[in-house]
Amino acid sequence: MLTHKRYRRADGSFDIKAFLKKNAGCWLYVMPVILGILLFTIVPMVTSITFAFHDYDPTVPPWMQARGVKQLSNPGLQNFKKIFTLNEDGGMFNTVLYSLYVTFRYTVVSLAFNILGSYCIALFLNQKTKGIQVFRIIYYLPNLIPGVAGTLLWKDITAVDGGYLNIILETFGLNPYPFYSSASTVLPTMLFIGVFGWGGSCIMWLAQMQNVPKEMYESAELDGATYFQKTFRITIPMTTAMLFYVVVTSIIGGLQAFGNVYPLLDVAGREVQFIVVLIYQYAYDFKVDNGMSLACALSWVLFVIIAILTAFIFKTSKWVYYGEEM
Amino acid sequence: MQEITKKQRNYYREPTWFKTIKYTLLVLFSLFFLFPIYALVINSVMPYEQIQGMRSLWPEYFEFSTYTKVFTDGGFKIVFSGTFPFVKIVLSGYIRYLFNTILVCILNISGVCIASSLTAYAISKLDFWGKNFVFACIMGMVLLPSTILSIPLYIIYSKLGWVGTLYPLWVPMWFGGGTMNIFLVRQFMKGIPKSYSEAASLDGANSFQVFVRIILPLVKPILIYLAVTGFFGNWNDFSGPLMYVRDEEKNWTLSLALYMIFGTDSLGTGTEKYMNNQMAVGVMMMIPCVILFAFFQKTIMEGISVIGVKG
Repeated sequence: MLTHKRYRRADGSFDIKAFLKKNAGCWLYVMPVILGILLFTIVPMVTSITFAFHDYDPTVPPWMQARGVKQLSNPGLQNFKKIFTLNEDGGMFNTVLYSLYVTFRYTVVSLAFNILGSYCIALFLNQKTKGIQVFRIIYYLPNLIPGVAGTLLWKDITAVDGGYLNIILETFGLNPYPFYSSASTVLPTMLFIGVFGWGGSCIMWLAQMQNVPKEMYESAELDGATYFQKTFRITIPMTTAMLFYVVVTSIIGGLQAFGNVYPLLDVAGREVQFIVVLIYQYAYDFKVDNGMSLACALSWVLFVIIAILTAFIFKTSKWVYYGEEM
Repeated sequence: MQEITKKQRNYYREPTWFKTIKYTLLVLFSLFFLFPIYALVINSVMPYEQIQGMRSLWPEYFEFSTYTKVFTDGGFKIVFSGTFPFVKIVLSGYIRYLFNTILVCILNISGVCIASSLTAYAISKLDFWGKNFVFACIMGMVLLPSTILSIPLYIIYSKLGWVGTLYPLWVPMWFGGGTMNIFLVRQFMKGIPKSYSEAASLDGANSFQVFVRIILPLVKPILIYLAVTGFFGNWNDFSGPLMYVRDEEKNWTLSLALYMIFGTDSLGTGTEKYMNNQMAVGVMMMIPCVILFAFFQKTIMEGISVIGVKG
């Protein structure tokens, strides 16, 4: 690019003036994003790596720093070693492993369950009927409950003693359900609450479904295709791009779930101690020595896992159909 | 014409029993999805005696003071002083939190829209040295898990003296506006034919004039999409304010305040949290979102459909 003849003088040497005149204006447009990536991504990343390979003590006061005691000390692999050492030997591998297990279990099960369910609802909503717009809004409403209020509300609804769901179960003469209080029912409870978020995914599916050319359905109808044939041969293959997007973002998001599970810690304990919750606890609860750098190291372990998974999904994405190039 | 014949055909195909089943299902599902909304509203008007003891699906009587509390606790005071600007309006309580939330929303959203459209314009419509590198950087950041950055970002903000202020909640958005947003705007801009901007350039417009006069009006739908979803995100954001402003009461946002003290008996004192107060705030916070969603539903769907187009 630099060798382009546009930037050459008659004698063949590099003309810096022409080069700047052509490009400087455009660089101005991308300057903020470059600065942003540098300041809010690259610098934190480097900091995080540094912490992961050191002991970091943010509580060292300035007067001690002036006498040579550093916040960062003891470079080495000790944080990663601690992560991969069994609990019995003074490490935290069992804790991390269980946390990873809980996280993965939730991500995989909820991904499959939510995609299947919300896709069916979207297929159902993808019709021209009077008032369908209103129903779409109603189905979306639970997504608009402010996050904190929603978490508090669901915690209250699923209370074992006198929660709304158990009141309803009681009126039907059924036994109360333990919800978050029993290890085996934590996942089903989370899945059930996730159902109320289906309206959000529905909107995504619907947006894609309505982009499918009408002529496709019309010609299929002329050939006498049934509703199910049209769904499986046209609608689903035509929406694979969105499917792919949702799978990728749900996996990345699910493995990093935090906001919706953190407030449940006091009722559900380690069943909701997802990996990011664990990172947060190490970093900010100050219960573990050297927690900040342990948390950084742990977040890099998570990064490697996510990177491998994402690469794998992209490698196996031959089934995705993208529309015509815009 | 074609539309009419199609409607007629559908009409003849759907017998009454089919329609009945369809609407019954639609209504049943609606009841299901309305359940949390019902619980939210009923909890917000539950009397204080009942909210602490046994709940019921219908309150003994309706306690509306949970709503008026929001407007009566705190307020605004006008303070006169000897120095410039002489008059100062001091907000406190809920009004203050509302003001903070709106401030963050406006600054954040305008940052997203301006910065991401400028960047997307450069990488989709302009041709310059290093463009592919910039684009690769942006795409590389899209999939980067945010967990890695959260701890060092907190340390960086605290070194800048930003912890306890609202800056961390909006300043980063002015630097690029979020990589995913840039990507979406770029996808949308790719659909604009090159001939549009070329015609304007021939008339002597420079690249910025082309951007403002030609490109910006055409990408309005995606910008509205970003603004509306950005509003939902910032209006309801909890983890951001929790991390950065939880120890600075005057900078709380609504959703943090809901969690921290909206439940308390009187402002700032006592630790008892009353669910009905919290839910009342939840209901009120939800109203603008519902209105926006109902109003912009079509634009949001249009914005989302950009995702499915190959980059």
